Amino acid sequence: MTGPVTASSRRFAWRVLKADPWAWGIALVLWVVFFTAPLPAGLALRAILDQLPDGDGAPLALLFAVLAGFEVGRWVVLLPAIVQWHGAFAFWHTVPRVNALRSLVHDPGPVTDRLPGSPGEAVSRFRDDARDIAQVLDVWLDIVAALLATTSGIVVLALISVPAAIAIVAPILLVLVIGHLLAERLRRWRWIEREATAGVTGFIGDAFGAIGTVKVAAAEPAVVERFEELGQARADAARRDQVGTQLAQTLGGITANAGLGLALIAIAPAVRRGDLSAGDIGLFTAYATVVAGLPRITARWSAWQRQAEVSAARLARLLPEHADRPDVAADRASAPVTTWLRSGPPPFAPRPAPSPAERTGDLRLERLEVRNLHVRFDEGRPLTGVDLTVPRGAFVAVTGPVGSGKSVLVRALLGLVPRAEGTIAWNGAPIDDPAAFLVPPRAAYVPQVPRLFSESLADTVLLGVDGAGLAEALRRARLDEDLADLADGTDTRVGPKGVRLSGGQVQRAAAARAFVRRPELLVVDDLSSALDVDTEAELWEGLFEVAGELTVIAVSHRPAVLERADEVVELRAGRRISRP
Amino acid sequence: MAASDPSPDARLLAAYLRPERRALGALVATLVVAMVLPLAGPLLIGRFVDAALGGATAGHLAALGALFLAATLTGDALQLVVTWYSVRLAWRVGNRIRLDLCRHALSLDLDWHGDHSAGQLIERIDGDIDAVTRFSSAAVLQLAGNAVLVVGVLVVSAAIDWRASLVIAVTVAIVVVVLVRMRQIAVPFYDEEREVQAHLYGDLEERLGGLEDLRANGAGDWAVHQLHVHSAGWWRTTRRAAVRGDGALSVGGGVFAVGSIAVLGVSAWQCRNGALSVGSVLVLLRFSQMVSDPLWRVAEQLAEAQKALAGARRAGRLLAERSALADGTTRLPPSGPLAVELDDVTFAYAGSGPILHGVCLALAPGRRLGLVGRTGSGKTTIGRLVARLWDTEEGAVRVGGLDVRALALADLRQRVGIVTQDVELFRATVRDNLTVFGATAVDDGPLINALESVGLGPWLATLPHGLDHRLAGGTELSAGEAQLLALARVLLADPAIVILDEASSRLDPETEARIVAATDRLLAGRTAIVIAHRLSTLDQVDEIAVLDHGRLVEHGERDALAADPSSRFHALLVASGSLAT
Repeated sequence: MTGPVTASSRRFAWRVLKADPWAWGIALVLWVVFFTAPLPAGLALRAILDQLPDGDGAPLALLFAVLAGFEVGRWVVLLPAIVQWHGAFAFWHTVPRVNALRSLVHDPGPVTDRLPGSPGEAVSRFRDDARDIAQVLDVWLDIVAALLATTSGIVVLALISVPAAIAIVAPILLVLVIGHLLAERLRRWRWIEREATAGVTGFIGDAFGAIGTVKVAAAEPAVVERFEELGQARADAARRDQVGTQLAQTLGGITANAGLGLALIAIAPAVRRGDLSAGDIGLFTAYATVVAGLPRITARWSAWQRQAEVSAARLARLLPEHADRPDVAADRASAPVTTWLRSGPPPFAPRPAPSPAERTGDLRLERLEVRNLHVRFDEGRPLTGVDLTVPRGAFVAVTGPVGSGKSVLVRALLGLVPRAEGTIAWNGAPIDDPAAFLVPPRAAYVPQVPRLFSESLADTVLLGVDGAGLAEALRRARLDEDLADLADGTDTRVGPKGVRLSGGQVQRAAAARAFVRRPELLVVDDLSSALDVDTEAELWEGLFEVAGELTVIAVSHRPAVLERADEVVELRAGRRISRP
Repeated sequence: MAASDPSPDARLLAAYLRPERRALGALVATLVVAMVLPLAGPLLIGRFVDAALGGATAGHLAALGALFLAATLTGDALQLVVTWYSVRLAWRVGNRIRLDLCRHALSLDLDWHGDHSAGQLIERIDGDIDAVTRFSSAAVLQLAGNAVLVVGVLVVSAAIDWRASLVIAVTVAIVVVVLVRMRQIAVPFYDEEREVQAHLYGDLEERLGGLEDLRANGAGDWAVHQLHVHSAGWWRTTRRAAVRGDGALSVGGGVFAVGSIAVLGVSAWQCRNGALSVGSVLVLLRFSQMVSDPLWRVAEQLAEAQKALAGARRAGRLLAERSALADGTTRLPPSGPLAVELDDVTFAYAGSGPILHGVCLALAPGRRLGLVGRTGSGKTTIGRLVARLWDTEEGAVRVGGLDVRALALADLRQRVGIVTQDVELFRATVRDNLTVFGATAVDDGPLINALESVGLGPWLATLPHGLDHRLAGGTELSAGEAQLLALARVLLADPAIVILDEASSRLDPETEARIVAATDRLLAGRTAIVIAHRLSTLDQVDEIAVLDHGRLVEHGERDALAADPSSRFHALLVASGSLAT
C-alpha cells in the first residue's frame, strides 16, 4: 500500500470559504458571541458569590440581571447561528460539486481516468469528500471562536491568580501534545476506513445496478454473502477509526476536570492566606470548562484537516490537470462559482440548433480527415495508424470482427478515449480536443450501449435542448409508434438506465437523442444490434432521408448497410485492412 | 407522549437491539458508575469553599483538591471504556440491519427496482443506516447515562435544599417536554431533507454513469443545471429542518440558563437567611449546570436520533415492501431438459399498455424455439416470464409442467439461463463476473474451459492476474466480448432451459461463426428459446414462433415454415435476403 494521496486541505477549504466570505463571516460572528458570553457571565457570578453570605456592595438584583442577560442571550443567538450555519454548510458542499461536475462534462480530454471505477464510488467523491471539506470550514469557525474565548479566559484567570491559570492551562498543553502524536495514526485509520466504505457502496451500486443479472443467475445469496464480507471488513476499520477519534476528543474533555483539580491544589496556600475569595473559586470552576473546550476542538481540527487532505486530493482527481499539475486541479475544484442556492437556478434556456443558413465556418462540415490514428492498449483495444476521409454527406461504415477496434475508432474520433498519435481535421483544420469540438451542433453520438436517465422519455431524449424537434426526431428514430403503448406517451418515466423500455426502444431513444440535436456529423456505434430487420431498415431509411445533408459514420456488420455505404472501413486487430 | 406509544420505527430499532440485551446491560452498568462519579466533583468544591472560609489548613485544602482530581478522572476513564464497547455494539447492529436490507432489496421484483436507482439504494442500505449506527453507538447510552446523572443530581441536591432541587426538576421537565415536542415537529422535515439528498445523489450517480452520453451529445450544461436545482432544494430543506431540529437546542439551552439562575437566586437567598453555606450555593449552582452540560450531548444525539429514526422509518418501509412475486415451494425434477408452456398468457408492465395478448405456446423438453417479431412485439417479455422475473396477469406459465408461481424461485432460476443483448458486468474479478460472486460454485478449470470455448481464451491469456483480474469498467471489454463472457456465464451455470435474447447481436458474423460450437454445446440437451433479429442465427432451431404486437401469429416447424411461401417466416427470410425468391 502506498498510502493516501493528499492535497492541501487548508488551501482548498480557504478557497471555498472565499467563494462566499459572508456565509462564513456571519456564522463566525454569531459563533464568537456564543462561545465568549460565558466569560462576562463568570465575572458576574464571581461578584454575586462575593456578596454572600452578607455582602453590602453592588445590588444583587443588578448582578443577576447581567448574569441572566449573558447566559440566556447566548442561547438566543444560537438559533440564527444554526440556520446560517446549515445554509453555509450546504454551500461549502456545493462549490466543489459544481466545479467537478462542470469539468467532467466540459473539460477537454477523456474522463475515463478521472472517475473511480463504479458510479457508486464516484458519488462518494461528491458526497463524502465534499462533506470533509465542509467540515474543515465548520471546524475553523469553532477553532477561531474557541481560541478567542480561551485566550480571554486565560488572561482573566492570570489576572486573578497566576498559579491557578498555570494549573488550568498545563493539562491543555499536555493534551495538545498527545493529540498531535495520535494524529498521524488517526489519519491512516481514517483512510483505510474510507476505502473500505467505498468498497461497500461501490458493491451496492454494482450489484443493484445489474439487478437483472443477479436475479437471472439466482445469485442473491452469493451477493448477500459478499456484502457481509465487505461489511465486516468495513466495520473493523470503522471501529478503530471511531474509537481513535473519540479518544482524541475525550482527552480534551478530561482537561477541564484535571485543570480544575490541579488549580484547587495550587491555590490552597493562597486561599489559606485569604488572598482568594469564594467568588474567585466560583469563577475558576466556570472558566475551567470554557478554557478546556479548546483541546476538544483542536483535536477535531487537526483530525478533520488531515482527513480532508485525502478528500481534497480525491476531489482534485476529478479534474483533468490532476496527473501533472495536482495543485491546479485542486484550485479549479475549489474555484468560486455561482451556486444559486437561495433562489434556485434560472430556468434552463435551451439553445435551438442553428438553421442550415446559420451553419457557416466551422459549424458546417465540409470534410473530416483522420490521419495515422493510434490508440494505446491500456485505453482498451489498441488502434494502429488508421486513416479515414469523410466528405460532406458521405456515409461511412466501419466493420470488422469483435475486438478489432471499431468502437475504439469512433470513440477516439470523438475524444472519448485519448489518442496516442494522429490528427483529426475538420474542414482541413486540425482539432486539438475532439471531445470539446465534436459536440452538437457539429456532431452527435449514439453509443453501442446507450445510457438513458430516469426522467421522462421526452427529457431523456432532449437532455435540455429545445423540444420543438422532438416529434420529428422520434418519428425519424421510429419511436413514434411505440408511444401509443407507453402509459403517458413522451411523459412516461423510463426508469434508471431506461429499464422500463425494451432494448430496441432504448437504442431508438438514443438515436432520437442524437437526431434532435440536428448534427452535421452523426456517429453511430452499432445502432442496429437490438433492432429487428424491419425496424432497423426503417431506421436507416430515416437516416438516408437526410443523406446528403447529414454525414454519417456508422459501425455495423449488416450487409445491407455495408452495401449502401459510400465507403467501408474494415478493421482487423486495430488496423485498417480496406484501402482508403 | 411518544414514549407510551412506540412508533414502528422505534420498534424496528428495538427489534435489532434485542439480541444485544446482555451487552447493553453491561454497558449501562459501567455507564451508571461513570456518570455517578462526577457528582462527587461539585460536592468536593463546595467542601473546599466552606473549608477555606472556615479557615482550614492548606494541607486539608490540597487533599480535597486531590480527591476531586481522582474522582473526576476515574469517571472520564470509564467513559472511554463505554465508548469502546458501544462502538463495537453499534457496528454489529448496523451491519445486521444493512445485511437484512440488502437481502430484502434483492428479493424485490424488477418493477420495484425500476423505480429505485442503485444510487438511491446506496442511500437506503448504507447512508440511512449510518445515522442509525451512530445513534445506537452514542445516543442510546448518552440518554441512559444522562438520565442517571439527572436523577443523581436531584437526589443529592434535595438533601442540601429541597427548593433548589425542585427548581432543577422543573427545569429538566420543561426541557424534556420542549425537546420531545420539537422532535415530533422536526421529523417530517428531516425526512424531507434526506429525501432531497437521496434524489441529489441518485441523480449524480446516473449522470456520472452516463457521462460519455452527456458529453458527446452536448448535454453537460443541462446536467449541471439539474445539480443546481437539487442543491438549492437541499439548501432550503436543510435550513428548514435546522430551525425545527436544532432549534430545540436554542430553546432548551435558554430554559436551562433561566433554571440555573433561578437556582442561584433561591440558594443565594437561603444563604443570606443563614440556611445554606456559600459552598452549598456553589454546589447547587454546579448541579444545576451539570444537568444542562450534558444537554449539548443529549441534544446532539437527539438530532442523531431524529435522523436515525427517519432512517429507521425508511428502513422499515423498505423491509415492508413485498415482492409482487410470492416465492413458491415446489421443486423441479433435478435433472434433464424441461418443457416450457405459455397458457393463454396476457401481460402488461406496470404503467404501460399490454405487451402480450392471450399467447399460447408449448415447447417440449429439449426442443429449440426461434422467436421472431418486431421490436416491442413481446419476445423479450416471454423470456422474462419463463424465468419469472415478472408474473403473468392472466393465464399461466409452466416449466416442467408446473406453474412457475408454485416453484421455488431460486430453484427455477438456477434451471433457466438467459443471455441478453445488454450484458451487465460487475466491477469485480473475471471469476466473480463468471460465477456472479460465487453463485455458480466451480473450480478454475471449468472457468477457463468456458472462456476458451466462447473464444475468450486469447483475451484471458493477456490478463496479468488471469481470473483474478478486476474488470475496471465498461470500456475494458467491447460489447461483443461482454456478450461472449455472458455466454460463458450461462455455460457454467448449466441450466435446463436456455434463453438467448439477441445473445449474438453485438457479434460480427465472423465471431458469431467462431462460437457456433459453443452455442451448440449450450443448446445441446436443453430446451431453448432463441430470440434474434438476425434470422441466420436461427439456423439451429427446431421450431419458429412469430409474434406480432403481442399476439402469436405463427408457430410451426422451422423447415416447414421456411418452405411455405405463404408463411410470415418465409416472408421475413426473403426480406432479409437469406432466401432467394
